Amino acid sequence: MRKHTNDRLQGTLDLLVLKTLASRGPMHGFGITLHIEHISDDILRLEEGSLYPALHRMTQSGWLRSEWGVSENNRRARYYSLTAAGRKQLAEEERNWTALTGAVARVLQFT
Amino acid sequence: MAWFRRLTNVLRSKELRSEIDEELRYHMESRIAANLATGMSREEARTDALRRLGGSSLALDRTHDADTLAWLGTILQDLRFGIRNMRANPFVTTVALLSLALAIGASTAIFSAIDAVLLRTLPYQDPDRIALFWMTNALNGGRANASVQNFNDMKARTRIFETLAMYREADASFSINGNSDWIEFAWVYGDFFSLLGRSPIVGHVYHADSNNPRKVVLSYRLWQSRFAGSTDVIGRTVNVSGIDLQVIGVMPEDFAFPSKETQLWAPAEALPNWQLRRQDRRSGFGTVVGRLRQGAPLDRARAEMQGIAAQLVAEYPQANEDRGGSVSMVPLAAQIHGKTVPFMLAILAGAVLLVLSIACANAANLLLARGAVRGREIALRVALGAGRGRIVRQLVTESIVLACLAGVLGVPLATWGVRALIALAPQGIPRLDEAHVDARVLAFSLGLSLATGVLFGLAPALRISRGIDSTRQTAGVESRGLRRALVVAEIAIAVVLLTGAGLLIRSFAAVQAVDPGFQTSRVLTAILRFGNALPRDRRAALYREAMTRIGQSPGVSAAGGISAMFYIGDDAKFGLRAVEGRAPESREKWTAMTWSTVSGDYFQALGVSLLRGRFFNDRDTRNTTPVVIVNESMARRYWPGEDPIGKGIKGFDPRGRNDEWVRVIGVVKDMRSRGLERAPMAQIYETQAQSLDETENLVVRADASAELLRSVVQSIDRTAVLTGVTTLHARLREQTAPRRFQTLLLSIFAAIALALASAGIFATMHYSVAQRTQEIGIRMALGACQSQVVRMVLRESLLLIGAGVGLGLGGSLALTRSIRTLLFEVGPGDPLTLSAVSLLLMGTGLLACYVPAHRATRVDPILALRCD
Repeated sequence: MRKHTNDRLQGTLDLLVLKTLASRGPMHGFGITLHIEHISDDILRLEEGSLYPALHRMTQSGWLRSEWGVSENNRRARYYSLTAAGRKQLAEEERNWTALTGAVARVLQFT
Repeated sequence: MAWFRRLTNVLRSKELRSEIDEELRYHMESRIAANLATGMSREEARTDALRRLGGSSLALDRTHDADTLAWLGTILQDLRFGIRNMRANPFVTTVALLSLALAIGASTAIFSAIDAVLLRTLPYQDPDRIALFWMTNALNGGRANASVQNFNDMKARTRIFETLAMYREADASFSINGNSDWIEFAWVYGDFFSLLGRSPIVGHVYHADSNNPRKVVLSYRLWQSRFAGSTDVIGRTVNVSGIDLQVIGVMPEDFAFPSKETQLWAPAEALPNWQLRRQDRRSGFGTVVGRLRQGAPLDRARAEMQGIAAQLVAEYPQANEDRGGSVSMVPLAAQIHGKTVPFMLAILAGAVLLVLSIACANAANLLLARGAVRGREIALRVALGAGRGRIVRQLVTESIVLACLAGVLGVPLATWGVRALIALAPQGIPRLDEAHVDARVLAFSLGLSLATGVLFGLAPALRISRGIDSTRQTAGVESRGLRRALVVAEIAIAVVLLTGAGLLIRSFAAVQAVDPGFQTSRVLTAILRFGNALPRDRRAALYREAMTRIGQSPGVSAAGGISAMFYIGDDAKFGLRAVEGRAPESREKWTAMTWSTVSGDYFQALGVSLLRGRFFNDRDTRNTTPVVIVNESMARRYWPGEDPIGKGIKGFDPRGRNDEWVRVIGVVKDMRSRGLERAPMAQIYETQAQSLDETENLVVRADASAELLRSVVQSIDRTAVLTGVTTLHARLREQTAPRRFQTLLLSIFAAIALALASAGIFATMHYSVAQRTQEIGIRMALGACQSQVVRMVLRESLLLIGAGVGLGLGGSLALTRSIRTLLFEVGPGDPLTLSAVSLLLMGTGLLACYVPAHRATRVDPILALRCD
């Protein structure tokens, strides 16, 4: 679990996914992609090839739970939702992110 | 538990992949639909979706890896591939598998024997701290037992031993309610049981401070056979050597000290003459066993005991005049294992490891040969991005799979082998009968299989993968040198084993051809004893009566007895106190010599011819001049070139009235009484009519059965016990049993080695011909005839075989030195054996080349040129 915290890119992906699921409830992979693009006004474009390995890794780590469900267009899709461990992880990732952006902001404000 | 799910996911990889595939497909299709909605063309929408995903199969692989233990998956993949590969090459696989299974099975069987006999901890508390010692007799270097008084002084003075005990092995009559038997047992003195650290399973053991010493502790075996394992045995009375003893305990089954034959332990204090013995420093009692203090080394104990012994000799010079020699001290394990058994097992282990190395060379060779054929497959895999490490791992995995399969096949072989080993082994190897294939042995077998797999797999794997790196087509040529070296090594090892076996077979034949000096056919032997409670002269009279009665029985032509018939392993040297008309001889001139007592027609029963003089007769009695018969060696030693008849001698015990001269009345032919392999020694025989010694070793020349002997003996006295009834032939066979066992086993291993090496030659030549098909085709197209092609193949084989035989002969000259002590009338470099082995290998090797050579002649030039 720890080994991803220093990897900012990966950590960012994890954070975005966890946050999305926390705010929107169970979603499938494509839904997560759309949601992030939509909310960030198309600025954050997920590398979709990395999304699914990340989803499966987080599921294996126990942060997410996955189950097959029926999508809005009546097809079988895998839905991901947050577990208690995932919520804890999200809190930690958010703390890390705030600390990082705070630090970066302070550096930028220093004149 | 994430790893556990990832582990199980490895096993449901296929299902997992289809799930991921479905998930990704949904994503792709949703993205395409979204793209179409923005107005892209169908083609653009699809390309964009694929680009965003970064390639669908890569995404699938990466996702799949996140769900599984990836490395384990690769290994499983390698395994599956390896098994498929083995199934595709049934010939190679079968040959390699069978050689390895045979070798691993044999090694496992030998290991389980070594484990049971030598490696397992002895069933005593801290057996490393137990040591045995005795003094050597200053007169003849023989073993001198410690006397009770010396023992007590040693026990009081030692600082290095925690405690000491003493035991004396004996055999005597044994009866329960008047039913007579004869058993081996031990008289024990001191803290015997607590020193060994074992408690009885029933009852308790004897303590030295008890005021009634008439107690006895039974062995498990005796308890089972005579009391059917009943706990009522405590308090029962048994009669040992004429003394009534009360049973107080039973020892566990594995308590076998001093030997497996020990049936009971009786306190020395119960001996009738104990009070005398206790006070007589001169009379030896037994072997001392001691428990060392924690961490005390044996060397210091030996030095200390040497010092104490020297003190005792100085303090009591007269009583200890025979005990001036050194103290011999050995650890318990060394005493129990002996010298010959570890040596024998070491030889067998060495032989079986050689067989295993041939099997490994064989397997490596086959893998190499196949590697050459597989060059293209491997080159393709490299081209597709497989690293060298990956290829090596794949190949080694394959060889380990092969070895482990062989190991599995080897287990039933080992189980059977252990049983055969126990059945064939000579009697009396302690703890061998406990050998069996158990978890420990299986762990060894598994380890051995893995090690062999790596051993024979790694070299070919490295070689094959290296061949790929350079120029891809030359893998076959490159590995040919290594393959030839392996075949040469196989042949050389087979030569070494065959030479060893050949030398042992020659020795065995030589031993069988030895004239024992007596006739063995139609001669029954047995041991006849009369109860110890009977007075000595009564027993002597009973023996004489028994010889007469048996001699007169129907079918019996002669019957006699002797006090000791064989002296196996007895090297004590003796001389005479006086020889008439000579100066006393010095001790340096002493040689092996025995003085035994015979009764009845001992010599006639054995068919030993009289060279001079006469046999004993009824007129030789206690009241006439004491007389002896000597053998040729004795006559040569004391009266070379003279007629010994009528000459007078004196032994160390006085004979007759007033210690008169003992007269020689006859000379008989030499007998090999020290065993067939050792030269006869000087022997003196006196008649029981004049000596009263027991002549319990019965020899009966007869067509009669053991039953007849038994019934005659029973009618003489009710205390009579007849044991060990067998033929003399069988007794000699028993003496050569260790030699027979070693010879047989080494021959079996050598035969396996020969078969494996032949298979190796065959496979190598087979592949060599297969690889040179084109070359042979060109040669034939250019006009080479069949005989030239055959010659070419044979020349190559002969070169290999010749090199192997040459190397092997050199090796066997060095290695057979280690079995020098096992050889009899044949030297380690015996030219007959060496040339026979060379011819055998040449012949077998050429036979193995016949099929490949024949195949070479049938190469069709057109087809050969067309391939590739």
